[in-house]
Amino acid sequence: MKSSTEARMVSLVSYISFILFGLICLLPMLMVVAISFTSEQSIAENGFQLIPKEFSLEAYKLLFANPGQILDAYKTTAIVTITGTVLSVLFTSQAAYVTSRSTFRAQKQISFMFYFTQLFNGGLVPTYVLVTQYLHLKNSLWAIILIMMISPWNVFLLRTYIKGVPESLIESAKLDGASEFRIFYQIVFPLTISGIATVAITTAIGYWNDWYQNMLYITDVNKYSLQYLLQTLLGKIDFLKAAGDVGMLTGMALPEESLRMATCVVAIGPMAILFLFVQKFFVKGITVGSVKG
Amino acid sequence: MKKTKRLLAMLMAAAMAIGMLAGCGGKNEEDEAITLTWYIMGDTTLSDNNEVFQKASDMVYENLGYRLRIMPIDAASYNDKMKMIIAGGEEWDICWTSNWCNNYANNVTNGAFLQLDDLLDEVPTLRDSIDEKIWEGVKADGGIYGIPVQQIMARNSAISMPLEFWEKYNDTLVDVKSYQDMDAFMKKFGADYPNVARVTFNWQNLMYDQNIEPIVKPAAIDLEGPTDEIKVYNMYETEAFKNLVLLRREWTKNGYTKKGTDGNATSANRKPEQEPWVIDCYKPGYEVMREASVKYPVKVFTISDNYLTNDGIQATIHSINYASKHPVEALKFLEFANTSPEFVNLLVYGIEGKHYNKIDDVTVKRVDNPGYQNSDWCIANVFNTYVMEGQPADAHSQTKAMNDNAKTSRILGFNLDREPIKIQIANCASVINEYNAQLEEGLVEDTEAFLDEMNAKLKTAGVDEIVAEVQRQIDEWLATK
Amino acid sequence: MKEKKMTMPGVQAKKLKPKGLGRGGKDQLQLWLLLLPALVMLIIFKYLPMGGVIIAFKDYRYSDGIFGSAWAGIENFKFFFKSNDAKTVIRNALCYNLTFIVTGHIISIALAIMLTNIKSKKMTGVFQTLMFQPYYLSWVVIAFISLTFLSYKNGLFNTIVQNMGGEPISWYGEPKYWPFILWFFHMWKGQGYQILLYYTSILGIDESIYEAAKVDGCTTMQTAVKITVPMLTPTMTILIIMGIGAIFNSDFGLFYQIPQGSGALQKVTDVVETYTYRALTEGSMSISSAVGLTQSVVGLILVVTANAVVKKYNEENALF
Repeated sequence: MKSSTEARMVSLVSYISFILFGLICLLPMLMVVAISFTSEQSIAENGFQLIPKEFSLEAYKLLFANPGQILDAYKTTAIVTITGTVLSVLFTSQAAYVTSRSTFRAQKQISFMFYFTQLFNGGLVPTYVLVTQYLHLKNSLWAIILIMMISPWNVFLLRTYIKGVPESLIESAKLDGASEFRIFYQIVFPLTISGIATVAITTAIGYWNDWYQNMLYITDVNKYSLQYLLQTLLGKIDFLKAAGDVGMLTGMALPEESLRMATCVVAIGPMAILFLFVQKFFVKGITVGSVKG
Repeated sequence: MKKTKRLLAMLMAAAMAIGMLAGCGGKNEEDEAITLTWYIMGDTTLSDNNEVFQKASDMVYENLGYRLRIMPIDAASYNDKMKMIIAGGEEWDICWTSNWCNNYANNVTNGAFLQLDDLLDEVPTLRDSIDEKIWEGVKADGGIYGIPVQQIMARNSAISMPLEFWEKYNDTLVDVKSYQDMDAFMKKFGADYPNVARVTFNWQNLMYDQNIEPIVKPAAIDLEGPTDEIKVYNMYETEAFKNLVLLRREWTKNGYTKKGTDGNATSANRKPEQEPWVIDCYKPGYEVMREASVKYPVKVFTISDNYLTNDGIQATIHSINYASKHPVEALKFLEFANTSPEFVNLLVYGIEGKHYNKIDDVTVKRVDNPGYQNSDWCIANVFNTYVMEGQPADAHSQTKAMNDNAKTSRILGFNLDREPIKIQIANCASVINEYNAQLEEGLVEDTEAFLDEMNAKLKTAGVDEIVAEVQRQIDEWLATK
Repeated sequence: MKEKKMTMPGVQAKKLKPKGLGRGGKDQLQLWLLLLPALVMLIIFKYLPMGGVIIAFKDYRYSDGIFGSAWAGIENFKFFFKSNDAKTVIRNALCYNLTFIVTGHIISIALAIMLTNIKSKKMTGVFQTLMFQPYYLSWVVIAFISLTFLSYKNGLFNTIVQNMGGEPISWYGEPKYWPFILWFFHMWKGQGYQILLYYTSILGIDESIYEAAKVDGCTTMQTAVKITVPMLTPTMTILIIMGIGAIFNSDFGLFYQIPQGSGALQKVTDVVETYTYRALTEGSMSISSAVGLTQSVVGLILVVTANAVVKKYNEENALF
């Protein structure tokens, strides 16, 4: 079989697969956006449609009724996400480098130590007690940042990328007298940039989307993360309906499903945009030239 | 390598030991006045929370000399957050609890709350303002562990339907006194809207109509009967249940209701014909609340008498922390909260002129998008609050009458200790979860065989042990009366 | 002198080097310093609270605290194992996870390789972005969307079925469709991420190998199977070992939200997490702690075994 025909076949199959997969992924996202812009009346009568039969901004109006709150939440979440991601990526990649070094005498033990926590954890209550009563971090953004900072999964993932860096590069640098710091920052880090970018984006998403840790530890409404604020707004409405609290319902438009979808758009929008930027890093690491014998 | 290994092992052990050994660190604070911390349900996103809470605290200080620190928790996270606060040993004095959120009975079993029986003598006004029956109903593990909030407690079975159907099919609804009587309605309705409706049971509300009071599924007793002899049985084995599900199957078979299911999803069911009627519980002001929820006018009528049960009484309670440093003060505060109309109205409606306006002496109307508001049932004695525009001026006395005249459940005050049968309960819960919904929606072709299958599975799951144990506990409880 | 080595990731270049290169005390100290922040965080946030696992062996009462509560021995563990559902949920968790692992890796490797064959950088970016979108959606939202397809009355699938003259299918009432439906949603949500992992791993492979392959006249398929896949072995191994450690853990959102709590589907959608959620309405922390501990211990045994097996073939690819 001629190589070029085969290559073209593969190319064709690839394109078709990705277009299909892409559509399957795109369609639900479009529905989410569409529903968020549909009037509740239309949803009641026609169900969920891909193209809104009756366009409406009621869900967004409700969400942004108190724009100060949402903007605060965006700000808070951005700060937590950026701080958390930068620190997390830095510390995780350093740890990944150390555990990748066979010259490190405690390599196996430390690796095991990290992995063990992936399987075993003390549970919610002991962590809660530690954070609130011993570290005094209740209602502090640092509780969120620190708790979610180190994930053994990411350590091992980055370790695999780092192991892909040719040992010879590192050794020749050592022979030149480079410290481990220099090797890590100047050689390993740039070469594994695509792996680091992958871990960075998933870490960022983890911070950005968190609402559970927020629910447990944050009591000050001004410090609510975006997702937590949105879940609170949603939950308020579910609850009012269930409790039949008429006094608090009348005078309030209650777009229910469209509201849920709108909170989705508001929360995820920034992440989706961020991904487009991070894409640039999914490239080959900068080559450091060839190895001299 | 060996040295490092040992060093690391020691490090790990030390870390864990430190974690474990760290006992409770208490903090001593100088208080000029006693501060009570009170956790309630509330919307934390409201802009005027602080202003209103400060006023409330001042009110308490004027009257009792304590400071009040109100900690609102959003309804959606109340259960999880409060559980952490309690389990994590944080300092708090009073919290809101109930049988449907931040479960009262569980908290009592786990030792979270303070027993109040003896302390009630310190608050005679409060003690006497609550009916003896209600104190019975709020007992758990044989003691009183919380102050129930006075509000609608009587429960009943009622049918609620879109007004348009009530008018259209009125002739079929004239003699409806029970779930089964809806057959005539379903025939006519089904002819006009075949294969559309979703109709289920709702045992929490249906039990008053069917005279079956579940204790812990599948164990139940008759709602009405002799008070000195109470027989426990498997509710799914009764003739009553069988006839109910067979009737329900007829409706599906004849196309009156839809032949498929969407599980518990209800979001896309908005048109009246998708939910032609539901079993609900009637209370004064029901129509307005339901309409706000479903967005069409409704008609409601009861199909049973009013009953006072443990559930109705335990729907909203305030309890005191077992480890509270100021239990007597906390109780005195609860007495104040439940006897002062000014206090409760402040925390329900906010500040007059700013958050609401008075229409007359007893009626108020909230402003649009008020900076503060809260539900009345989670604060304190509802009968002391204003009524809202649209509700009758005597709504409270109507409600009180409903409570006073309600029949009492035969097991008022009885709390089941699930511990000896918890495995069987879990096993039965699984069986019920699997079979029940299909029966309730009439989806199974050979319903009778399916029901027999379910009961057979319940037998292997241990229903007989459950029934025996519940019977034993009830007999024991009866003997103490 | 340029060295053109076939560098296989992870395999030490077996050439003579001064002994102790990198093993010196100064190097060790530097490595410890690099490790320190993560290690400290690990100890504080993961190891300190670990003492709390003893809740699994106690009859936990809030008033007595964790350490004051009475010992319950293995009572809490009996709750799960004596239940009639233990077998079902374990079987379900195992079957789903094994399928997820096997099919998941095959599909994501294949798609990652295909992605690298797409010449246009822009299209690659577009596809990557699209495939990654489901990753941030919550299961609640996904469950809503899936309802629009599977709803009995107005769902898209039933509308199509009826237009073709058939009877509407009660999707949420028929267990037989659900292994596939759950598999589909798991893939749909997670593949974007896994494909990205493999894709970036492939990026790390030395270009010269591919050039040599081209010179030798390898077809795309041959390159993929004989070169790329083996080069991905380290990544694959780590991911699979970690997957084995979690073989009895399931994503609660997937198994609880998507089936809309339909009891009819219980036999095929019930996993350990959903069972615990349903059975422990009393919120017994002791029992849920015991169940979690069981999952952890089993996971540990499996991982240590898998890790030992991997070590026999290639020490470099092992987890620890």
